Amino acid sequence: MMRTVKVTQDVPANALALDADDTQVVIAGRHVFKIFVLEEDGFVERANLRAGKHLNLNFSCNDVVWNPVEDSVLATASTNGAVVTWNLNKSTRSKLDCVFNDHSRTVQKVSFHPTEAHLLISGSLDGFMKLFDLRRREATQTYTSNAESVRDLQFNPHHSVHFCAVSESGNVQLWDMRRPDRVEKQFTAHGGPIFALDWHPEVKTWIATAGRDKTIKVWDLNENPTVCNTIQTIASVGRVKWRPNTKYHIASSALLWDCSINVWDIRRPYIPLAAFNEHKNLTTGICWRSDPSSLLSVGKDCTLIHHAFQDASRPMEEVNPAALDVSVLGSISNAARCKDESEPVGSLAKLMPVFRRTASYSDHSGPVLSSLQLVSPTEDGPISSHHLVQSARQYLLTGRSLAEICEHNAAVAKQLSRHQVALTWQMIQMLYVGASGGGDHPPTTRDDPMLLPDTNPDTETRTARHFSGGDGGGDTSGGGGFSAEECDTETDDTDNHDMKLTNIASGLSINQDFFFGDGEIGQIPFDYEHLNNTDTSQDWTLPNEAFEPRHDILTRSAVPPQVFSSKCLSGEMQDNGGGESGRGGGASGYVMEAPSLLSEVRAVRIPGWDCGQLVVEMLIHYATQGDVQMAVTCIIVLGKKLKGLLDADQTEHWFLSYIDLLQRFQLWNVSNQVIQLAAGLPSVQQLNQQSTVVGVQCGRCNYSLGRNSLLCRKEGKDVNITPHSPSAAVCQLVAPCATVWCTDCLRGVRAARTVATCTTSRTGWPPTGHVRRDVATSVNTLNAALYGATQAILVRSRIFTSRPSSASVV
Amino acid sequence: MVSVISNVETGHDDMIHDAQMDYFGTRLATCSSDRSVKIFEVKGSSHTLIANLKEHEGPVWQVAWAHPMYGNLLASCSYDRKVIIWQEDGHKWKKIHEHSTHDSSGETLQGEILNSVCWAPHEHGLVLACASADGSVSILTSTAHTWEAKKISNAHSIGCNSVSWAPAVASGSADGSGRAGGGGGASPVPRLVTGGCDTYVKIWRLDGASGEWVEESKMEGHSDWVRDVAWAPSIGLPRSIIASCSQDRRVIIWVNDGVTGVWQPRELNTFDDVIWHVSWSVTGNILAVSGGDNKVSLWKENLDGQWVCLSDSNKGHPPSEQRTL
Repeated sequence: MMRTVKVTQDVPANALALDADDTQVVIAGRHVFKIFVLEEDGFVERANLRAGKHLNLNFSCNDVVWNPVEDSVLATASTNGAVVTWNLNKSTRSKLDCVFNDHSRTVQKVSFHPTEAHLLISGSLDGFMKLFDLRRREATQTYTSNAESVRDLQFNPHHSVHFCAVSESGNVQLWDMRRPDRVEKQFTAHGGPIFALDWHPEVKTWIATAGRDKTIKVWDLNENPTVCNTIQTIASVGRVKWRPNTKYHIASSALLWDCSINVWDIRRPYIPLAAFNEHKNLTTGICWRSDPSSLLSVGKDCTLIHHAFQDASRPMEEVNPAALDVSVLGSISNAARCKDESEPVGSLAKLMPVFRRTASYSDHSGPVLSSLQLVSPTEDGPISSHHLVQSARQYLLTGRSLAEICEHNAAVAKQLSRHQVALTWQMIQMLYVGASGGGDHPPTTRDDPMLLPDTNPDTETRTARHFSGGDGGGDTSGGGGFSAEECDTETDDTDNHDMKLTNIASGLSINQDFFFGDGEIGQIPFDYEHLNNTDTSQDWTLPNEAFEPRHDILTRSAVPPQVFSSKCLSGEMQDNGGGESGRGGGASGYVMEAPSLLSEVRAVRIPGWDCGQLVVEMLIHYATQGDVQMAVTCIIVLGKKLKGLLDADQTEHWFLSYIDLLQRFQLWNVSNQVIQLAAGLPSVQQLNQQSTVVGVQCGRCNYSLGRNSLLCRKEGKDVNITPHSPSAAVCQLVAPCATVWCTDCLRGVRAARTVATCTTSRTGWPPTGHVRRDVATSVNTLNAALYGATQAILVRSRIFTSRPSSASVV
Repeated sequence: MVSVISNVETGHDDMIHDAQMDYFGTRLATCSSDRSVKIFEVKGSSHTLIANLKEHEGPVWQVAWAHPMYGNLLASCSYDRKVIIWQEDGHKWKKIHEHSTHDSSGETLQGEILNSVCWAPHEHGLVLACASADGSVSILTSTAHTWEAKKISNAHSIGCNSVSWAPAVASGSADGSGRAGGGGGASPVPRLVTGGCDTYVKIWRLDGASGEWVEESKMEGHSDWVRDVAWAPSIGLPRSIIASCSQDRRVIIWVNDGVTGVWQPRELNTFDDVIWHVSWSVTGNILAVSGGDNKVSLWKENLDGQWVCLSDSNKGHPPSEQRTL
């Protein structure tokens, strides 16, 4: 089998033709006319027919054909209107045999009769077709196409008294060559010029036509010609040729743009079955050898190429048969090819991937349809946004005491079955406020910016390590809480003293590592009054022995006594001890019975160690798990208490991510609240200002306006445009104020409506539509926006400009 | 996980190559071999066709939604060597820009088929990356009134199949300069990842000094065409994650911890069939994988750093073996 080979000439050829037994190819062009022999490994030039004394325009060829019967006879169509025949057996140097000057304009095509070697027809731009008798050396018949330029014509290979011609007007004509007086059949096939035509080699009634409308059409020429198939190509089609021995395949080349030769399966009209991309410039002629895997072509890149079909690219097989996207709401859109029943499935497919691949696309008949499915997540699904949205809606961020906020948020989380999150909130409450009765404490407790800011680094790192290690067993994704068993096992196998967050939360039962032992008490000016009045009722005893093994650590952790002094409220001993005693019950009960946990640890107070780092670690953990909401909410709620512990960049990143998420869920109010509460993060707070200046677009012509110019220059410049109708105020005039509305947030609507009224009344454009992200944020902060540097607001494509001074804001 | 599945009657006449949900998850854009792009409004399990865009002259391979702060913009790329940017104007969608890779002056088409489009994070402006079958990547930037094109020539030999942008706050560069904000508002360095027929996954960075795109990493791991790459949304820790899938039936997760700057590959799984798509959830912690066997599976990294399969779609049979490598 012949490989893909090419031979390069100095000048491009316009056409090529094979001889009857496919061993020789002739190429012809304005300045080239050569015959090559097809060898196994390439082309061998056999003759240069462009020889002789007078190289006139008769040598300038538009088309060339090889006589199917007489191997030595060729015919060419010349650009000057001549039809020329050539005889290779002539002994002279010039093989020119006969010149017919019957056409007045360029001859586009010549076609030999399939069996009668002396008959030749030609089609010309002058609108005539001529039948030549080579024996009589004259044109015997003239067929007229009503002054339409003929672009292609071809004898019917199955019924050779008929021929078919296509014209620039888009008509197909079927002629009986014996009846030049009238066209046998005529129909309009394309909306523009038809450039190419090919009879199907096997199906007798099929012809393919192709033209400037970028389509290839397959016609069944019955009584009423009908379109069987339409192939959409990407460029004007210049040539079409049916692929031999394959009923449905056809090759095409383009007149413009597309340099490649495409082979189509007419049942799959959008993607070529195969593409030959060897040509670097447009392909001018294509021709199959009688072998379906062997195609010859010439192009404007001056090459003659033999293409082996196995070297073609296969766009159809390389296409992506599947689509996938995960939406912000957690739904998955997935499109996949509808399975063909004939395809091997199951074990066969697994065993024979090669077999499956070949069976898939190329041999598939007809278009391959896809089914598109939307998989909506259930509320508790892994990528459901339900939790996030509900939490965002219901969480309290500010406005109440820390204890109340924590309690509320814990309840929200619990209601959503997010037990771990609920516990975290409870823990935060306990860490920073104390037990549920936080409100009873003097405000100094909560306002204390930081407990033990300079606590022992050793302790700190230990704590951090314990926390991050401890959550190793937790399944945060499931949203479920820890079971009692989990807790126990965790505690039991913690050879590195791992502790769960929840262990810490459950009353600070950190008897192994944390120490408020008697050794320390001596050093601390401890308030025994408080100690006594809160805890006399509780029947627990503090086993002093329990603390003894940690004495050496105590000495290392040189906690400055003054830190523990007045600011530390009483109850540390009790807290510690309370946790100790309550541990047994807490471990079994706190998951199901959070209130009982709270009651058990009622006496818990602010821990005497720095929990800030621990909380930060927890936030990082949550963020890593994809729950940036928890991280941001905690930071907002805790406010100053985490000051100095958070990495500013990271916090900013979390805020921005969370705000982006909220905006995706169109929770504008929440998102604005978060922006406003982003204390100490100027770049986040700036979002309000930034998002108000988005850009102005002319609502009429969509021309983007400059930041400082409120006139649409594009329309203004265009002198042909008459002054616009009143609504053109947008284009020509400076609108006096902003039109902003938001169906999502009432506040925005209220604020905006005032402003909107005046503009809409002026322009007459109803304020329909919905404000998306950018505008909505600006709406919510309209005060800031309007009195800021804002000049323009983009509301989808309908734009109005704002002049802050003239807008009255409620 | 019991999920509600609804079939969308797309009415496409041929294979669907891409389906993308917009920023708010309320609209679905699909594209098909039948040269059309369709937009559906999705509400719960109901969906209505709101636009049928037919200006491409070849099969449309991919669509991408822009960030809504630039309006409702959709980009589509096609076999016809064109990228079309569509904009919603009122209730109508229309073409606002067409980028052809071919030389507009000459009659021949110099350019190549465009395989993939992806909008940059909005922080970089309105910027679109297009991967083409000749291996180049074009970056279109919307300036005042026009689109400027920049090209990474020969990003991949043979062809580039997929492109994805790094989140604007991504870190994890070799020099650590990718950190956003920095408290001082240093703008993030644009980066993108491409996957090509040469089996490589490559990371490109816009060099601030020269304004040119430079290759930052070339990651070897796959043994066949890389079909899709997806840079995970970045929230949480300062590490970057990229998922890539390939004709070799594998999905590889590339993790850059942001400290060493090295991309560590971890094979997610070897599947039964070619993997065509990987897609991250919005929070970046769940990866959806879709293969030629019509199955979708969801993967999540557990606390030991192992990727585990959460669920398979109901479409197919669960994989016989879910090896976690």
